[in-house]
Amino acid sequence: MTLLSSESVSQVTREIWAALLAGDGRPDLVPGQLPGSEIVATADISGEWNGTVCLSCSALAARHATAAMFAISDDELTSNDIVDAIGELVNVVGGNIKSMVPGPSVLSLPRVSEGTDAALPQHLELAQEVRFAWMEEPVVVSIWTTTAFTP
Amino acid sequence: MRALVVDDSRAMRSILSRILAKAGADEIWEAGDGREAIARIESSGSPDLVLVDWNMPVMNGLDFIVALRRNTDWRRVTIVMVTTENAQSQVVRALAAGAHEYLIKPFDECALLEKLDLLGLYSPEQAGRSALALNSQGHI
Repeated sequence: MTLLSSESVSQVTREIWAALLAGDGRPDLVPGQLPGSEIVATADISGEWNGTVCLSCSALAARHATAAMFAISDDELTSNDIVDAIGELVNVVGGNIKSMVPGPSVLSLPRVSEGTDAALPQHLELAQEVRFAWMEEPVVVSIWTTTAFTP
Repeated sequence: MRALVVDDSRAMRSILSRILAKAGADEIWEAGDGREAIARIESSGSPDLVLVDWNMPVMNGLDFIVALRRNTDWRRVTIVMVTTENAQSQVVRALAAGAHEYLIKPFDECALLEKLDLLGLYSPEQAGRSALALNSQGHI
């Protein structure tokens, strides 16, 4: 099993969901294959290992996550709230992925793209991807690197 | 207890502030980076507790702790670093700079309350009594 196995990425993502988004009857993150990623958030890892951690999800999943983090109802949300919350989620995912790859390295501040033209990292190689379903909406965590990851 | 939450994410500040409210904090201030936090302390006085993230724009959490500890008026502030930085070397740096405790994201409510309990800033028994008092007054 490599350090960036699908199991380890899945486990850390599920732990983050459980810690930050649990409660009020919201379900756990489960494996799933659902189409549609309208929000893409990325954070770069730079140093001994270089790559990008990407969290993508549907607009509705992003709204649910944001509402949970701010503890407010969906209809009170602003687009700034969504950018902030999804940016923090990729920051936490990225920080935990950083601990799984060779260091030392630093994690960039997150970037969040909204809309159907939200772009996944270009010119990078996909090292790992794990797909989930949450509240019947798609959530995908992918890790991209400049070279194939061989620990 | 007066608490200051320093994190560039408003969503994370919201999560931390809700836990501090449950812990019985009387006043909870928020700042989006270290410089804003310093300005808040200069204008409003010293809090009892600071929860501070590491990676933030403008002034990061480590620089904030160093700045806070340089001022003798603020040396009694209890500091908990709340961050995704989980390398042992980073924990050592934060504690050496003046943080009292270190909490790695993601964390759950119990983990933060346990840290506050260790620091003498939260008592589960007291929280239970407060909840009972509220119940008896019909506020819940």
